[in-house]
Amino acid sequence: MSNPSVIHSNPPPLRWQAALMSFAVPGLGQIVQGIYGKSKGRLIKGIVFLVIIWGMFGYGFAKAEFKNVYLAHAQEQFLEEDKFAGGKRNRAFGIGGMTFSPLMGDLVNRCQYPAQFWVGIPAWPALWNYFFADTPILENYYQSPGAMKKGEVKSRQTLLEEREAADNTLQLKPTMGRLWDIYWIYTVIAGVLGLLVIYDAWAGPVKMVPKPVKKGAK
Amino acid sequence: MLAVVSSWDVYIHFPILLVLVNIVYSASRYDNWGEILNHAVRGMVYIVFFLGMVFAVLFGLAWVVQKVF
Repeated sequence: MSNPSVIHSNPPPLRWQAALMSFAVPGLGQIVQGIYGKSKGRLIKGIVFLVIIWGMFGYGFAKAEFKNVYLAHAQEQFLEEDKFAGGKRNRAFGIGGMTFSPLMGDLVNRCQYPAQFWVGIPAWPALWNYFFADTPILENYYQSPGAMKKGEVKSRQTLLEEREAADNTLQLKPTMGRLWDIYWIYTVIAGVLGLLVIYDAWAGPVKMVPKPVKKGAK
Repeated sequence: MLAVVSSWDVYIHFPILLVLVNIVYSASRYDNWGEILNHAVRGMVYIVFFLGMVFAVLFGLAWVVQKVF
């Protein structure tokens, strides 16, 4: 029996453009490739990707009352607290003697977001609101906790605590409980699947083909 | 009774996630729908078998701990 090996055969058309399209809208790249290459299978696949990935993300996001897709300014607060306590790293994120930058620390603190990001457009307002708090997009759904807007009178700590209290109240609802975690898991898995879809748009389907047998090999 | 129902309702999501994840994963490897569905079903069986084994081991351990201690 020959030993199968994985190769990419027949790279799909418009691979870079399709990957970019699937990055923004999962499956859009495959839909365009399906139309361009007259491949019904690829077209249907693109639609299935779009429905499943945005469906999963939307379900998890909506069921958590639009409170689980965000990037908080937590590391900034932790750095401030450590500085106030004498400079030694205590609360701030880091590895060994290295303390993470605010952005890196915030990504570690909210490690769901780096996965959710790959869902495409529906996850990106959270990043916008993290960087541009003064000109927020859909702030009721993607608020960045701890973001210090111009003229903000509350401290960052107060803002973060208020958000945490609101999230805790939500989790204590009889209809929520452990489902709170299930709902963010939906959004995170949707994002991870989004990565696979981008790769498929770029590389095309993987096919198993037998390795050529070398002459004289046992 | 209500408490029992609410403690189990998280598991409703397992088959949903199992099916959706396997369809997307398989579809990212093949273009032909016959192959996609075949691969997806195999993936589901592997996952259910693996989780079933983990469940059996944990269930067995819980039973032993309960009997011994």
